[in-house]
Amino acid sequence: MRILFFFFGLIQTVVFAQPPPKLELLKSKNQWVDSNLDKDGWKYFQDQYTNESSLNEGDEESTFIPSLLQSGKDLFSSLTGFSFSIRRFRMKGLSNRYFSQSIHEISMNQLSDGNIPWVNWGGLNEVTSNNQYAAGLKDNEFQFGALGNAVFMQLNASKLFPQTTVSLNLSNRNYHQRFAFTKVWSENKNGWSFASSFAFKQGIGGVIKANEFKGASYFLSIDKRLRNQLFSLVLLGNRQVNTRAAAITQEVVQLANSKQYQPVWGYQSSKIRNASWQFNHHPMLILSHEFNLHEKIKQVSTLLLSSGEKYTTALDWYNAIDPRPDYYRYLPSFYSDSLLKQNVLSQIQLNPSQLQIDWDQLYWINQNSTSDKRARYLLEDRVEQSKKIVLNTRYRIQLTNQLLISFQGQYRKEAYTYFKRINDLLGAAYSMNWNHFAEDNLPNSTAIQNDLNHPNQIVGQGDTFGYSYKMLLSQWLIMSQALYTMPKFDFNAAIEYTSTLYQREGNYRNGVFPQNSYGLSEPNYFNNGQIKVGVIYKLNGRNYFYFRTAFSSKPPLVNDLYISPRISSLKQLDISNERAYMAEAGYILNAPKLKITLNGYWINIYNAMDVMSFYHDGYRNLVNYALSDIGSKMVGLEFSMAVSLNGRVTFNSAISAGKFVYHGRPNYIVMADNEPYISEKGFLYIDQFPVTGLPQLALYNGFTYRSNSNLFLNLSSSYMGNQWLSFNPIRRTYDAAQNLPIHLDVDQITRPNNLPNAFILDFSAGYSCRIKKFRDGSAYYLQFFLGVNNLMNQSIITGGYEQLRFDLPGGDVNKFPNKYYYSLGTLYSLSVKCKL
Amino acid sequence: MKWIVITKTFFVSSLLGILLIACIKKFDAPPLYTGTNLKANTSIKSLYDSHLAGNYEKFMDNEIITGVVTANDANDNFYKTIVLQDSTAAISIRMDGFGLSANYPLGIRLIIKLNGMWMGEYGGMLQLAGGVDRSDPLFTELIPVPAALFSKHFVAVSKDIIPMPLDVTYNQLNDSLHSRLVRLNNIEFDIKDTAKFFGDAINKLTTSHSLKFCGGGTVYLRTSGFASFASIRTPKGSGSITGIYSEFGSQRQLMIRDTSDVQFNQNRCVFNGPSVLFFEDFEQYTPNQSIAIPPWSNIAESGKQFYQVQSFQNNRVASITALGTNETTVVSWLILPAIQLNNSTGEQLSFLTRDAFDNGAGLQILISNNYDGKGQPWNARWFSLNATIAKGAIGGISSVFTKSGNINLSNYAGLVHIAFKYTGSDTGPLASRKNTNYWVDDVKITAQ
Repeated sequence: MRILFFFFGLIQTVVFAQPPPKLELLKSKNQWVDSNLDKDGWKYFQDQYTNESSLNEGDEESTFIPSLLQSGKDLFSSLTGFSFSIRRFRMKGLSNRYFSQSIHEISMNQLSDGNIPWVNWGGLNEVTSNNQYAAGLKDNEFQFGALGNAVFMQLNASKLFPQTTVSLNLSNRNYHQRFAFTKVWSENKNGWSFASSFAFKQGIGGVIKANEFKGASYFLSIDKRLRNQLFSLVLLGNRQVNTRAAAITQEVVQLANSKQYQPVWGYQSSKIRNASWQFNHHPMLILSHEFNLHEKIKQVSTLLLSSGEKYTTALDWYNAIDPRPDYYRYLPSFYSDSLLKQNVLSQIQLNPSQLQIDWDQLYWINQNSTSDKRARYLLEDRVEQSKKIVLNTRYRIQLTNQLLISFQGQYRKEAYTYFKRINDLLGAAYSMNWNHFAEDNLPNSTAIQNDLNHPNQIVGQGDTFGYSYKMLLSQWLIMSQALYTMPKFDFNAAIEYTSTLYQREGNYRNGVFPQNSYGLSEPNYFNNGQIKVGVIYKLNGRNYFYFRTAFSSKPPLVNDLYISPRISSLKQLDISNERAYMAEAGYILNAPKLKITLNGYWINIYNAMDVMSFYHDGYRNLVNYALSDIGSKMVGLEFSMAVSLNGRVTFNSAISAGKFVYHGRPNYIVMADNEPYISEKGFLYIDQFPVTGLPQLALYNGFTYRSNSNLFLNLSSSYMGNQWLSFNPIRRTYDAAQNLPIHLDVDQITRPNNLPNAFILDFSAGYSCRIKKFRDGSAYYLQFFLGVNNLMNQSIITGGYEQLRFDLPGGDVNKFPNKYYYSLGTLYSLSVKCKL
Repeated sequence: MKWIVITKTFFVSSLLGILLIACIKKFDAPPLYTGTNLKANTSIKSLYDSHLAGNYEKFMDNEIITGVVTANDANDNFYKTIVLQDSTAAISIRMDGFGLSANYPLGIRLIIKLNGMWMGEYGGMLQLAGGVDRSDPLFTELIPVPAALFSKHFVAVSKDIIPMPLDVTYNQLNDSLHSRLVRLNNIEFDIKDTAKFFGDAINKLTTSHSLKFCGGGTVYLRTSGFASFASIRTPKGSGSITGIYSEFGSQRQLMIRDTSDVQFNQNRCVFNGPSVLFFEDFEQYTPNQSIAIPPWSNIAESGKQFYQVQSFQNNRVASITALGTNETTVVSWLILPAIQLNNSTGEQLSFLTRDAFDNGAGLQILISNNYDGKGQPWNARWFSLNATIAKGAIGGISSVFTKSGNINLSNYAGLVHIAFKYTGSDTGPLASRKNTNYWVDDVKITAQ
C-alpha cells in the first residue's frame, strides 16, 4: 500500500511536470482586495491551529514542534505543515533542538530543553507572520541556523504591514471563539511607528466534554527611526490557561465507547472539574537597535528580557487509593478471574461515572480520614519559573559586491526555578512536606524530609513543597559567516563557537540525598562548535542545484544531564557532547507555472542523551531512566511541487520519505527517586530501531482553485505512514530478555509497535469582499476563511507511547498496554476578518 | 468617521476580552454527605451462623450489613484488609487496594452491600472477599474485592464511635471473638520477646511474639514487616494490649493497629504470687525432640519411649505414643517439677489432652508425696487424680483438645510431684496393640 502511494506520487510528479498552461500563478490582482490578502490570511488562519495539538496534550510525550509554515517561502513546509501536524510530523526526523526560531535575531530555543516555547507568543498570529525561513543548511543572514530549519521573526512596528483588523474565529477545536484586534500605524513623519494587537481566546466543552480554554495575548511595538538608526521596543505576551488531554488505552476506549474519552476530569457536585491544566505566561521585552554605521556596515543589537511562569496541574496523593479512574487495577483486564472480570465490567458499564474522577469522594476522604484533616489528595502545580536575559550583536559587512560577511556575538543567561506548589488542598486542612515514597524504604528516618533545612514543614494552599531547585544556565556564542556570490555559483560558510555553563542550585536539602541536594552543584562546562559550507549552482534563473554539509556539536540538554534534578544533583555517568554530521543536496525549479523543490539529506547523530521519569507503582516511586550514547541516523528525500493547471487551478504535491533509525546500543541506568543508588544498568538493544513519534513517510496532494483573488478553495489529501510508538527502553534490555518466561518469544516484547497509516482529507475556502469605501480612498474589507480538517470524520491515532512500566516477570506487554492520543474527528474553523 | 469606528471597536473588544479572560473560577468544596437510605438487614453474627465450615459462600440475597471500622491499613500492619464490627460480631474484609485507611478510616460507619461478594475461611478465620480463586483445586483461596467494585459494595456513612474493646481473659478467648477488637489485661511479652522489633522491617517478614498472661496462657502478637512501627522495640513491662483477635489453626493471635494499642506501663508480672503456681505450654521448645526441661523428668520405664515436643498447627505440645516401638510394654513418665503446696490454698490443676488413633493405651495423671525426684518413679507411691482425658479418636487426630477439668489439689500438702504416665504396647496383632498417641498441653496449677 505504501509503495502504491509512493508511486502514485511519482506518477503525479511526472504527469504534472509537463509545461503548464500560459497563465501566471498567484499574480492576478483585483482592485477589491489587497494583494497578499488571501494568501497571508489563509496562512494566519492555519498558523493558529498548527501548534495546537502540542499545546493540550500530556507531558508523557515530548513537546511536539511543528514543521514551519510561518514564512510561506518554503514550498514544502507551507504545503504540508498544517496537514501533517496531526501526526506530529517533524522534518527530517530531527529532534526539537535542531529547529530554531528567533525573534529579532535572538533564538527562542531554551537551553533547558531545546524547545521553542511557541505558546509564549501564541494567539498573536496577525503580527507574527513577518518571517524569514531557512530550510536545512540554507544560509541565512542572521545566525548559524539549524539542521532542521530556522525561522527569523521580525516584530518591528515599522516592518509590519499597516492595518486595522478585527478578527473573529469560531471553531469546534479546544477553543471555540477567538477575538483579535490589531492596529498597525504606518510610520509618521517624525520617524515613530506603532503597532499593537490584542487577542482573546476561549472555549468550554466541545468534542472533549471537559475542555476549557482561556487565553489573552497582547503585543505592543514602537519604533523610532533616527537617521541611520532604528530603535525598537517590543512587548508581547500570552497568558493562557487550558486543560490538557491524556493518552488512553484501547481498553478504556472500548469501556467508554468513545475515542474522546478523557480520564482527567470528573464531576464535583455535578459540575465538571478538570484535574489536568496548564498555565503559561512569559511576557517578553525586546529592545533592539539597528545602526547603519557605514553604507557597507550594519550593526544590529538586541536585548531580550523575559520572565514568567508556566505550570501544569495534576493530582497528588499519599496513602490513598489511586484517584485516576483509568488506573490499570480498576479495569476488567487486570483480573484473571473471569467472574470478577465480568463483575468489574458490568459495574463500569452500569456506572460510567466510575471512569471519571470522583471529586466528591476525594473531598470526603480529605475531611474524614483523619480528625486533623491532613490531605490525602491534593492538586499540585508543577511550576517552572524562568528568567532570561539575552544580548545579541551582529555586524553585517558587505565587503565587496561578491562577498558578504557577518559576525555575531551573543550572551545568554537563563535561570529556571522548578518547584511544586499546592493548588488546592481539596477540603483538607494541611499537608506535610514529606516524601512519602521514602517512607516505605527507610522507615522512621529523616529520608522522608523533602527539606532537611525545614523539617516537618506544614504546608497549605500556595505553599511550595516536594522539590525546589534552580537551574542556572548561561552561554557565550560567537559566529562568523561568509557568503560569496558569483555569476553561476554561490558559496557560503559559517562557523560558530559556544561555551555553555550548567549549574543546579538546590533550595531543599533532600532527606534521601542530604549531601548532594542543597546549594550549588559542581558546574558543567561545555565547549562546542558548528561549521557548515554550501554551494549553489545557478543553471539559470529558474534552475538551481545545491550541496551543503555541516558538522555540529552541541552540549547535552541540562534536562538530560541530571538524573533526577528534582531531588539531587547526581548526573549521568557518561556525559558527552551531542555530535551531528549532515549533508544535503537538492534541486529547485522556480518557473512561473511550475515550482519544484527536491532535497535529499543524510544526517548522523552521535552521543545524544535522554532522561525519562515516570511513576512506577512496582517501586511505588518516581523512577528515572537515564540514557546516554544514543545514536541516530536519518536519510531521506523531500519533494514538493506546485503546478498551475490553468489560471485558476493549482495542483500541489509533497512527499517526505525517510528512513530514521537509531544506531548502536545506548547505555542506560535506572534510578528511583528515593534510593541513592543505581538499581539497573546496561545497554539498550535498539540498533536499527525506527525513530518514533513521527511518520517516516508522508504524502500530500491538493488542488487549489482561485478566482480573481477573492475566492479560493482548497481540497487536499494527506497520507502518513511508517510511524512507530515511542518505546519503552526497559523492554529492550538484557535483563528483560533474560527474565522472559520460557514460552515467550523475545521478539514479542522488543518489536517496535507501529501506528496504523492515516489518510485524511482537508478542505479550506477563503472569500473576501469590500463592504464600504470612503471618500479618502480607504475601505472596509471583509474576509472569510473556512477550514475543515479531517473531512471523513475519522478519529485517527495521532500519537502515543508504550507505557514505561513493564511486567518484567510476566513478559506480558498487554499488562500495561500502549496509550494513544486520538484526533477529535472533523474539525472546522471559521474566521471572519474585518479590515478597517 | 473611520476613527470613531476604530475607537468603538477597540473599547468593545477590550470589554469582551475582560469578560472572556475572567479568572478560572475556583471550585467550592462539595456539600457534606447527607447520608443514605440503605439499612442493614442482617448482622455479622448471622453471617457466621450461616457459614458452613470449610465452604465458600456467595451472597445472593441482597444482604446488607453495617458496622464500624475497627482496623485498617493505616500503619500497614493490616494488608489490604479492613475489620468491621457491629454489636454482634466482627469480620475481616479483604480489599484489593492500598491506602484503604483514606476511604475507610477507623471509626467510620460502613454499610456493605454483600450481594455478589463471597465469604470463606482463611486459616480458620471467616472473611469477606470479592471472589474465590479455584485455579488450584487443592488450594483454593479468597480473592480480595477489586477496587473497581468498592463503590458498588461499600458505602461510608458517617463518623461513629469506635466500639470499646472487649476485656477478655485468656480463657474467654474463643471463636466467637474472631476479628473482634479485644483488650487483654495483666499481660506481658515473654522475657525472650522483650526489646525485640515488633516486625522484621528488613526482610519484610511477619513476626510473632509471645504474650504471656500473668495468670497463664499465651497469645501471639503478629506484626507485619511492612508495619510502620515494625522497627520499634517491644516493651518490657506488663499491662493491657488492645487489638484484633484472630486464630490461625489453633493458635490464638492478636494484631495491633498501632503501638499505642500496647499499654505496658507496669512492672513485669510477679509469678510467685498466689495466682499461678505453675504453667507450661511447651511453646518455647524445639519440636520433634525429647522433652528436656531441666526440673522436669522425662522417664521411659519400659519400652524406651520418651515424651516429645510436637508442633501441630503452630501449637506445640508434649506428645507420647507407643507406635513404632515394637515393644510389648511401653510405660513412660513425664513428671512436673516439684510443687510446694504449703504456701497456698485452693490449688487446682488443669491441662489439655488430645488423642490420635486411639486404640486403648492409657494416660494417667498421678500425684506423689514421696517421690524423691531421682529418676525411679516406680519406686514411689502415686495416687491417681481424677481428670478427663481425651479418647475416642479412633481413625485420626481428634479435632479438639479435651479439657481436663479443674482438679482439686487442696487435699494435698507439702512438696508434691505430678506425673503423666503412659501405658501402651506395640506388638502382636494389630487389634491388640495399644499405641494411642496422646498430646498434653497448657499444664497449669493455680491457687486462690
